[in-house]
Amino acid sequence: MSLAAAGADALDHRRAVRWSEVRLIATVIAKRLLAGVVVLFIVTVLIFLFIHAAPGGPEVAIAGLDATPEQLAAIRELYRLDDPLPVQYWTYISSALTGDLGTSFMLREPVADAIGRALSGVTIPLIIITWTTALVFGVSLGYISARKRGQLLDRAIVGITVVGATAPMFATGLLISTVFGVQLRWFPFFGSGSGGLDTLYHLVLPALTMVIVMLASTTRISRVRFAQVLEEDQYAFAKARGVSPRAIFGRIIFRNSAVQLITWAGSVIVGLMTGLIIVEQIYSLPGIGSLLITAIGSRDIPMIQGITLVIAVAIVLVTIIVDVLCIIVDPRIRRGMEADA
Amino acid sequence: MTATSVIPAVRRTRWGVGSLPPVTVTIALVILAGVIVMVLFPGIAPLDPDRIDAAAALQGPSAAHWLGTDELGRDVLSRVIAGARTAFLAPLGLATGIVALSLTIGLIAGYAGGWVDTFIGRIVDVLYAVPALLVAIVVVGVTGGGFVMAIVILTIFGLPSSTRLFRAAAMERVRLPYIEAARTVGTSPVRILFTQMLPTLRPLIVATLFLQFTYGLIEVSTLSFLGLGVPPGASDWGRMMFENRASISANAWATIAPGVLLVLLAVSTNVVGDWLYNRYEAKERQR
Amino acid sequence: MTTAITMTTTTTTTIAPPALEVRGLTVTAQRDGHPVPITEDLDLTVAPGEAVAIVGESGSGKSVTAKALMRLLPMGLTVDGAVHLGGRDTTGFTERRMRRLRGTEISMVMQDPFTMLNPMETCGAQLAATLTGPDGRRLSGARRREEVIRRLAEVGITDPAVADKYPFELSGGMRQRVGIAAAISRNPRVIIADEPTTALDVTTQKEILDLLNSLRTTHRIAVVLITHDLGVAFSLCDRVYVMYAGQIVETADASTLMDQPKHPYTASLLAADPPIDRRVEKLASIPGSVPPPGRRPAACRFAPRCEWAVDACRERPIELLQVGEDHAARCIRFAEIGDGLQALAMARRDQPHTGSLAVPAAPVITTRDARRVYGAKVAVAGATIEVRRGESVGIVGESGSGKTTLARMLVGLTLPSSGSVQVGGVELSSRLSRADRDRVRSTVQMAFQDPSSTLNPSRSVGSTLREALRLVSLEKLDERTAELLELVGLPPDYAKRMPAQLSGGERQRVAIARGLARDPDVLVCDEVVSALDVSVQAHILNLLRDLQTKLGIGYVFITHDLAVVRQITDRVYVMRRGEIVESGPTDQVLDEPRDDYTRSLLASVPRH
Repeated sequence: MSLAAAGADALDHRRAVRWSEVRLIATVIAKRLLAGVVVLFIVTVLIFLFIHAAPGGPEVAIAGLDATPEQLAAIRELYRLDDPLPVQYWTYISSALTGDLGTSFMLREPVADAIGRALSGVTIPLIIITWTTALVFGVSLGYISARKRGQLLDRAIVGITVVGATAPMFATGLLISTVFGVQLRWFPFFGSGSGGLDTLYHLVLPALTMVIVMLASTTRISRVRFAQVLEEDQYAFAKARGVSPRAIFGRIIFRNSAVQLITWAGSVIVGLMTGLIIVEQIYSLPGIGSLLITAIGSRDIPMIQGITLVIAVAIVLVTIIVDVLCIIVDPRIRRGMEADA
Repeated sequence: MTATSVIPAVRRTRWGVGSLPPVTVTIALVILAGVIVMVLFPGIAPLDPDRIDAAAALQGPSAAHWLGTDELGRDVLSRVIAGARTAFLAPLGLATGIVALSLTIGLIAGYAGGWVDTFIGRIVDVLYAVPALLVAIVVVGVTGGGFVMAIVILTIFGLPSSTRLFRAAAMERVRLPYIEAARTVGTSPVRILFTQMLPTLRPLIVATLFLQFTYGLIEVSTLSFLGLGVPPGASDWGRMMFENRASISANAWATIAPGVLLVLLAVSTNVVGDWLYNRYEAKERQR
Repeated sequence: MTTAITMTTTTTTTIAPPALEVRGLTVTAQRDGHPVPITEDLDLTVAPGEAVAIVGESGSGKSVTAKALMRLLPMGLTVDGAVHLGGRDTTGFTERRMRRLRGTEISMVMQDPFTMLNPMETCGAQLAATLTGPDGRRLSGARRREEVIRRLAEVGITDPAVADKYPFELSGGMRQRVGIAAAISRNPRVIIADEPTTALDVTTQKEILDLLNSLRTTHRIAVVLITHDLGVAFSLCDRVYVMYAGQIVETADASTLMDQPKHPYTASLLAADPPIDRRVEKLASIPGSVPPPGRRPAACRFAPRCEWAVDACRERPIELLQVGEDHAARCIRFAEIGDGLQALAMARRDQPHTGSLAVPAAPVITTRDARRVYGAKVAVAGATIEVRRGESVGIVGESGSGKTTLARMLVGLTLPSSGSVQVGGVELSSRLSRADRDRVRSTVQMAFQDPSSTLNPSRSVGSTLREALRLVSLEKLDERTAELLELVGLPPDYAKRMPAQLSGGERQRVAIARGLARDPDVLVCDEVVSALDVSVQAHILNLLRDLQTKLGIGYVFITHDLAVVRQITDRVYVMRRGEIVESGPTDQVLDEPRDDYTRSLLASVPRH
């Protein structure tokens, strides 16, 4: 058959392949979402049981250790704590699905509102700033390091990033807030300011604290992977055929590191969640981390449940997104075959 | 065609080993040694770390108190030296526990394969995404649990990453001719695991020990910095930072000294762990 | 196969400048601060459209040379010397200028077609990466596709769907073709093929070599073929350069080199290659081993291993001397020993055929319809074979034939999905009594292919052997270890050494010793010589034959190399895609094959 006719046939074939790939990805997303729901179920059950199993029961937590039996009874009545656990759980979940996460004991306002405020005002901007900065600069630095591996610049970068990646966030946080905040007075180190640009100004030091660790570890991870790819035959072959440096970077180096980088980006987000708690404490930011700590201190059960639920949902979503992106990027996973041994 | 590569020991200076200057590793080892000295000989502290002297509270550095005193008049230097104990031993216990458990689980999963491996693999995958420290903060905070509970939680959620590592290493080795030869010759599986596989994993085990120590140190000190896990008044570095933070303007050393030491110890063990891990990897690649 | 394109390079009437000319190429490495030469002072000339081979074993420096020609050396290696492409001197070219030459003037194809291609991109996309239109810009979608399909057709791939496939979806031969298409997509003058067929089956190898040959005429591309296989070199190339320990020791056109070698190494190499047409009594091998860089003798590098060496050879460095028209050799004695060398090279052709030594006895291993499946994939489809005491049975096949799976079933590493495998009277199954399992283990043992992973790197040689010996008896372990080592020709003090200190051939000996520790009746050898240099291979084959006579042991020899089969087996089974397609006495099967596949296998072997 003529080359043109063969070409047309191949076009149809390609369309068919693309379509089946899209279907595959959709199926995977659906399956992962389902699995995510199951995980969330387990997590919420655990949290629920765990809180209600605290010594003395939640009514003691609410009222305090020296409450009278009548007060305790009243609380139990008010919060329906005598209902069987599955019923309590069901009430909670069904209202959660409609956005009602209960009312905070200490703040006396809907949990969902408090969380929303904390997230939008402080936490989410902080996460976005830190995440983007750490990834963009970390990957770039990692690439430079990998290209010049073994040379002086690389050794310097490796040396510095070891310190950066390991120094505990609270230590660096204290150091930065003291030096740049208290002593030099370059940036504010307390609270979140009055919204807009002022808030951003207040977020500089906290973001810097978190960026140090995340950037350093991103650099290390990227460097390792990039260096691996640079050693591979496919890199040498591309150079040998005269593929342009830009194409080599995009197609060979980046594409072959994408899976690792995507997975790492997901870990960064999860790691930031833990970091938030520390950083918000140090800089007294009214974000979700501080909210959690105060809630824990005041035994504010609905708030604790609400925040852990939000965190769990976030982690599940991140995991699903990472998985799906990896499948999209890596044809080997996609075509369901394992690499030839 | 295999056989000896003509390209010589250039590989040594590639991105693994050579990139960490030997100077750095030496410094790290020195710091480590220093901390170990403090752990083994707490008696080198000039004063009693727990002796309260309200009159001498919050003084800056002086001849009597090289790093000053904290808000209860206790000598900061002595407390810092005493704190080396928990700072070192807690993560050590944690790391040993994690490595021992994950090694066992990982080896069994990797060697046995089949449904055992799938089963363990699934559990590990689920736990892997959960941040250990976050769970520890919530659980310890809510239940008011102590040190032991914190360690248990950190261990459980710290297992997945090492388990994956050891499982991958085991799976790689199971297919190798010398393991298959041991099977063919008739060596029992248990003996194979112990005498054939384990020796080749020694460098990885040591490297992981150091790295898990680093993570453990960060986690435990973060917990105590948040006021969790360690009783008030304990001369624990993280706890000291928590308690003395408010009075940082009066005597900054009370907060900074433990902080600096924490950073030094964590970075040192990380450097050593990295170095060991890179050496292990370099050797693996040469195969 | 010499063609009419051959151009003599010494005449000054060549019209076109050589496609590639190299003068004084020296690659140096830095080791512990001081420079160590890897290759020294190489001179090479390749005319347009000519095919030239660089032949060498491991440690010769041939692969480094390939990279040096492209200026793609890994970090830490420096290169000196002049490289002229199409008459243009590229010395002192910046990386930028070199980049423009790569792919357009000179290009390269590597050994492993799988790692050479990007697993993340389709073959078409990779091919298109270097395609530009007449104006130098990237092509539009439709034109690009046309070009890609055209290039694929040039290398013999007529199915346009290949362009949309990923490398892991293609066979090794297809991948190599795609790689070649990508390498020549901008019509370079020279293509360097670094062991391009080593990772391929022998039938695929022939196809690729034929392809490279045709490209010489269709594209006027000169080919520099780097290989360790003399047969491959002679089948494709007009001229051959032989390298040893970093130097060129001889160069001549193919037929001259074959018939009249003037360097002892070349002659020994020719002699060591096992012939396929007859079984010789003893295979010629070269004593000693290749000196690594930094420990090479200053005078003649081959002298320590050369049977013609005299004092003069060890006194000063030897130059490359002209020994005939277009024939140079680095040996000062070439005139005196020329006849001896010729005799040595011819020996393998003149040696009489030795009959097989086996005396048929009772069967030790029998399989009946043994079958092994992995999900939907059938690895072995019902094999019925027999191995008798004292005889050597070969199982021959290419990749995917199932020969390794069958071998594993014979020793019990893999159990059959159906059918039966009987060893020493015991039927293999997952529930064997301890006594039965013991019996199996002392009846059949195995030696594996890869010398670098056949021994546990963290245990000494002695401890590995003791591990096997203690399963027989706990007494006199040290004594018996020494005996085993002696049996395979190694000194007893090797017991203290670690595998890293042994050469590939020595490690295989230890592996064989381990296999013999339990005194089995049959030793299954899974491609034990495939990863070894030809000279070392001969050692091991001789050893195995001696052991057969001395111990009365039988072999099951798994291999893809028909020449090895001829030398060491009495009977042979030929496998293809899980099935046994032919079997019988070795000589009969190789001389008068009945099955078409066997015939095609024999036809694909590059002869010389």
